[in-house]
Amino acid sequence: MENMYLPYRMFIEKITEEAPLVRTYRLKFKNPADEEKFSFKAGQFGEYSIFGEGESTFCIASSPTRKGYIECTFRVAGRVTKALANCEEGDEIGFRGPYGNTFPIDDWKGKNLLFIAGGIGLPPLRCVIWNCLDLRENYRDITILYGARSVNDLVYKHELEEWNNRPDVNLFTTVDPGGETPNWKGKVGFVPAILKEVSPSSDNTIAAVCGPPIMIKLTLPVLFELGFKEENIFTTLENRMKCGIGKCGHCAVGPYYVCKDGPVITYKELKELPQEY
Amino acid sequence: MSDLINKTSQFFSSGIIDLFIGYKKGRLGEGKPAFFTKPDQLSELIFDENCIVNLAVYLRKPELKKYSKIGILANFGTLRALLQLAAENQITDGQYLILTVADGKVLEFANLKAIEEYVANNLPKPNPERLALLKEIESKSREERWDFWTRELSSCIRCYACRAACPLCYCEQCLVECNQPQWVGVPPTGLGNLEWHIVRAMHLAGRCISCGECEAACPMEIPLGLLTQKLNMTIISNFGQIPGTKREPDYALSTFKVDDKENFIR
Amino acid sequence: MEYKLIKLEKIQEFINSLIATGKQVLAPKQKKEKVFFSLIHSFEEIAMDYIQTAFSAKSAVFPKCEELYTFEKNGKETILNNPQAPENDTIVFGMRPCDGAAFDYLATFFLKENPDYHFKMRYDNTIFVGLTCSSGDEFCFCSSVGISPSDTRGSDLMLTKTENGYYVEIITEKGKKLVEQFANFFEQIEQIDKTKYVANIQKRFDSSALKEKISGAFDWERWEETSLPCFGCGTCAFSCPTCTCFDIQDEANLLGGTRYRIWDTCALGIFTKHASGHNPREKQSERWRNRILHKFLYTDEQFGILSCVGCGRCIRNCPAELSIIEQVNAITEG
Repeated sequence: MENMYLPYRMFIEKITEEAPLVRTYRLKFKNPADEEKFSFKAGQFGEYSIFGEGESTFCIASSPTRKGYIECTFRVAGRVTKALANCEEGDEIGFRGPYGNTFPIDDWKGKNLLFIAGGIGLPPLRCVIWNCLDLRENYRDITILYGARSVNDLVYKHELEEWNNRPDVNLFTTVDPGGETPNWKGKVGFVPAILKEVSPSSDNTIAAVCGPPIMIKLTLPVLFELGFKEENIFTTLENRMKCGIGKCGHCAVGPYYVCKDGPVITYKELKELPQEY
Repeated sequence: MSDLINKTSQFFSSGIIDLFIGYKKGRLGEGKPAFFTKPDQLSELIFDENCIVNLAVYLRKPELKKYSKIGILANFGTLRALLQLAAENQITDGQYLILTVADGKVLEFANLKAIEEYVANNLPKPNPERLALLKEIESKSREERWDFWTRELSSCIRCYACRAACPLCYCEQCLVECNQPQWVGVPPTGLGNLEWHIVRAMHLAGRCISCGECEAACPMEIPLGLLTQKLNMTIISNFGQIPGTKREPDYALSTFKVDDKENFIR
Repeated sequence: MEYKLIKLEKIQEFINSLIATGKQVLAPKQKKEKVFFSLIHSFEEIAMDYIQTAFSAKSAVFPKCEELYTFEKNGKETILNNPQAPENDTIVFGMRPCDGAAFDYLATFFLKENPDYHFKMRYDNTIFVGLTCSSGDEFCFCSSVGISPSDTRGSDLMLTKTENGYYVEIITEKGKKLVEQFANFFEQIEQIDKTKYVANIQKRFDSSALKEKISGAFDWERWEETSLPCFGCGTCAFSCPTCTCFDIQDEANLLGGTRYRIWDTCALGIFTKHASGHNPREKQSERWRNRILHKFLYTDEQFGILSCVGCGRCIRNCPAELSIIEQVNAITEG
C-alpha cells in the first residue's frame, strides 16, 4: 500500500508574476516515472508543499491537454504561500494529487460555454478554458467574462490578450469602478452588472462561475434571470483543507467532502448541502 | 434558594435582564452551568459551594450578543474574573447584573466597586494542600523538577481545553495559532507541549485569578494550576499585586509606577 | 467459534508473558481520578474493574501525533522517508465492547476508500482483546445505538468474567493465533450463556424516533439554546473513540524534519477558518451541531454506520456537563 501523504518531488521550471502577490509556477516532475503515471482532469487540485512549512491547496491551473508539466497560480496569504513565494526557478517543492472531481467537459460537447471569473477565481477556470479551447471543435460559442479589482489585479494578462484576439472566443474583461487605467479598453463595473449588460443566451449553455463568495452570490440571480437552469451552473468550493483525500475532516460540509466529492459542484447540488462553505 | 429564584424572576419580569447565567443540578449533585431565558425555567436554579464552574468564561460567546442585558450568578472565582476582565477593559461597569449568594442571602452588586470591596473582605487563604504540593515540587532538585514537568506535560494532547475554560484567555487569535513565525510547535510532542504550557502560564502571570478551571477542564489530569499559582505567588511577593481584586488596571508586568523599585525602567 | 477459559490466577501469567515476548500491552491503568489506556509493564498495573476509561484506546491505531513521513534536505534535493512500521504487535487488552465497535468503525473509515497507510500499518499489527461489561453507569448508552455490552464486534478475542475465570470467545484468526501461541494458559470449554455476566444497559433514547428526526435536524431551532454551556474545549472529540479529524503540521530545522498528523477537532473555531478570515462554522452552536449530526447522520449517510458507540466519554469528560443523551432526546422531542 502506498503512503498517500508522500508527495511527488517537483521543480519550478518557470515563475510568472501575474499581479501583486499573485504568481504562477510551472512545475515539472523530478522523477520521469512519476510523470509517466501522472494524469489529471480539468477541475482537480493538489497539495503543494514546502518541507518544514506545510502544505497549501490550489487547483491545477494548466490544462490536461498540455503535457509534461502542471501549473499553479497562488496569492501570498499565509505561511506556506509566503514560503512558496520565496522559491526561485529550479527549486524543489512537493506536490500531491490530483484530488477531487472534475468539470464534466465530455457532457458539455455541442454546447455553448460561459465562463465567469473574478480575481483569483480565474485559475480554476483557466484549466477548463484551455482544455475546451484545445478541443475547440467539440463546443459551440465560448464566452469568458473576467473581472478584477483593478487592471493590475488581472491575472494571465498575456492569455487574456490571446483570447481577445481569437475569433472563436468572446472575451469580456472588466475592472471595479476606480480600478481602470487611462488606456484600459475593457469594461468598468462589477461582474454581475457586466453579465447583465452582455446578457449571453442561456439556450444550450453551461455556465461555470468562480470567484469571491460575494461575486458568486450576486452573479447567480443574474444567471437565473437569463434563464440558466440550476443544474447547468457550475462552481468550485474552496473550504479549508488539509489531507485532500477525505480523511482529515476539515473540508466536510455535512456528509460531503469538498476534497473528494468536490470541488466542482452544480448550483443544484450546492443547494442540497448544509450552508457551511 | 427561593429568595434567589424570586429575585431573579423579578429581574426578568421587570425587564432588567433577558438572560440569566447560573447553575442547575449536575450529575453528581454539584452545580452545572445553566442558561435561563424565561422566569418559568428558574425552578431549576441552584447555588451552593459546589457550583464551581467559572461562568465568566461564557461572556465572550458571540451567541450572547443578541441579549440586551445579562445577569450572572457569580461564585467567588467569577467575581474575581469579572474584576480582572474590567481591569483589562473587557467589560464595563454596569454591563451585567451581578449576583451572588452569601450566608444564605442574595447580594446584588451595585457596581464593580462593590465587588471589589466584597472580594477584599472575603479573600480566602491559599489552599494548604496546594501550597504543600507546590512546596514539595520546589524542594526538588532542578533535574527532578524538569523530569516532573516533562513527564506531566508529555501526556498533553493539545486540546487547549485549559485555554477554552479560562475566563481570562480571551484573545481573538491565540499565540499558538500564529504561524508566521510559528512561535510554539503545534504537534503534541515534548518540546511543543512544554512551550505551550510555559507560554500559557506566562500570559497568566499576575492575571490568573486562581479559579482552577484550567486544571478542572484538563482531560489528561495535568496539574496545570500549579504553574500559574507559582507565578502568581512570585508576583504577589514581589509587587504585592493580587489578580482579580481591582477593577482598575493594576498589572505589575505592564503598569509603570514612578516609585518602582527597579532602576532600569527609569 | 471456539471457546476457552482462562483461570483468574492464569490471567496474570498470560499478560506478563505477552509483555515478556515483547508485545506492547495497552491496558486500563489508574491515573489520579481517572483510568487511561496506558502501556503497561506488568499485570499489577492494570485496573481490571473499571466502568470506562477516560479516553478510548484509539491512539493504538491513530496516535495523538504520528509521523506521516520524514524529509531530509540535501542541497536542492529532498529525500523523503516512510515512517517505520512498529516492530512488535500491540495488544489492546480489556477494552469495552463499545470501543470494539468503534474500532470497527475506524477500520471502515480509514480503509474503505483511499486506504490509509499509517492506520493500516498499526491496525494490522494490533490485536484487540475485548472485555464484557458487568456493570455500567448512567452515562453508558451503547444499547441505544445498537451495541450490546457483550458485543464482539471489532474484538479478536472477547473475555467475560465468570466465577471460574475469564470465558474467552475466539472471534478472529488473529485472536486464534494469539491463543495458540500462549496455549498453556487456556483451557478448553463449551460455549456458555453469557447473559448473567452481562450488564443491563438501559436505553437512554429512542433510536428509531431519532432516525426520523435527524435528517431534518440541521434547521432545528434549538441548537443554540441547547449548546450555550459549551465553551468549545473539544474534550468530547479528543476522548471520542470514533472521532478521526486531524491536522497536518511540520516540525523541521535546516537539515530536515517531520510531517506529522495530529488530532484536531471540529469543536475549535480555527478548524474551518479560511485564510481569508471567512469561517463556515463561526459559532460554537454550529460546531456543536456539526458534531452531533456527524455522529448520528453524516456517517450513516456515508457508510451506513452511526459513529456514536454510546461509550459516554463525552458526557463524563465535559467540564460544562453537556450530555449527548439529553441533546438527542431534545432533538427527538422536537
